[in-house]
Amino acid sequence: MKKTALSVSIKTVLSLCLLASPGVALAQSGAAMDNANNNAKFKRCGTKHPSIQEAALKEQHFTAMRGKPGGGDDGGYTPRPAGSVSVDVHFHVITDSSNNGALSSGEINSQMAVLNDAYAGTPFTFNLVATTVTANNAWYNVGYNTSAEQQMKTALRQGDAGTLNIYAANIGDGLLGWATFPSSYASAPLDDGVVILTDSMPGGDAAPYNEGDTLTHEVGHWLGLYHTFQGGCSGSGDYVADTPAEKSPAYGCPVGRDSCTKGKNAAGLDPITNFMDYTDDSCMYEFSEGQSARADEQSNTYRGL
Amino acid sequence: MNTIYHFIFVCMLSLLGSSEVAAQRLAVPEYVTCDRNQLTSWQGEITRVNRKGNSVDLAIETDYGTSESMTMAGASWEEVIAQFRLAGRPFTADDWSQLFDTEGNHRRGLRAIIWLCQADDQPPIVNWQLPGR
Ligand SMILES: [Zn+2]
Repeated sequence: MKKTALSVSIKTVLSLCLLASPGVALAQSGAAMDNANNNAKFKRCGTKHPSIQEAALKEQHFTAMRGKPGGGDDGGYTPRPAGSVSVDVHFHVITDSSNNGALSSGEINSQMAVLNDAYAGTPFTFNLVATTVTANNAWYNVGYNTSAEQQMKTALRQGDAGTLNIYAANIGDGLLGWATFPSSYASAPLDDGVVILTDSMPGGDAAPYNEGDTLTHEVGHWLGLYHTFQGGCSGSGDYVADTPAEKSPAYGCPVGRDSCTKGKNAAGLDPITNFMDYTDDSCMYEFSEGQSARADEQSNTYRGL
Repeated sequence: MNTIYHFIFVCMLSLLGSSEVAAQRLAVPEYVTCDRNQLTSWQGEITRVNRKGNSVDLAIETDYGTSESMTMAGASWEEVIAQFRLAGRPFTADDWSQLFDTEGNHRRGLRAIIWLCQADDQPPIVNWQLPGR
């Protein structure tokens, strides 16, 4: 890897030496925030991007395997009508031995309503077919990629590739949720599904992330969508043409944010209102048509939906 | 034909190692006090950590496919590590050695979430995450 040349301006050096608080100065590359420190010079590191490689490889596979959901006359893709693809949902509520994490049917139905509202303009509707409740202290605090996650999913998962299993628990590590991609199902079927923080559900305690959009976001992954900031400003990004490129995640609701201003992906403001960014629940409210089409094709190809 | 494509796909993915495209959603933790509208993050695998006196040079391959690097410097080492966390909890001077193996290289699979604030008076915060927890 070529070492990145970093330079710090005189002003920054002065602040480093003279100011007591905050005393930590920064020089950064990659320009995740072009405006973050106007005194620092930025340079992108020249190494390859492993997850870019992985995403590109998955895309090649997808192109080779893809189905044609709409069965267009020319063999091309035709979007399926809104609401025409019904997804069965198994909702697994995980509590601790003191019943923390318990959810009423009203709370689960409220979450399902948020999910269906978010996908109203897409082919997908979500049909709650079963709810389970399991008291398990280890699973209640389940972490990403842990033995507890493996045990929980092995014990509880229902259905096939097209069945959405949702696990609501008090997950750790500052995560609101995680999900598996459609292309992962074949190699790890038991791992398939979506895990969310219980308090991210509507009315939960995880403000500003408590309007239920974490499930919407994670189901987006489950249907094959990447983050809007996938790939940063370069390359193919999230493989969706109508979501402007974004250099890095946005938080809060930074109206007017424009983090990619140079090169072929410079057009458009950052898609901060998109469900696949990291902004507050109150800020995110939409999928693009391109995302709907990608989810349609991905779910048809890998999930048989 | 599809079977062949699928076989090649699985083989090639395995060659890419442990790096994965992330399918998560991050919340801003309480210890990050930056206005969220001015905040971003780098989450991923650390590829370089070098300490020189009271500064740390580090590089990260993010889970969303970018390579980033930065240098943090302070008037004292205590000021620098005051900007660190370990799995979300406050970082102590003794924690630094946990980031490295016996040969002094940073541990394979070492990850971090780096919080970057656009405000000039808010230095970055590095939340280190040790491998193989
Ligand atoms: Zn995500």
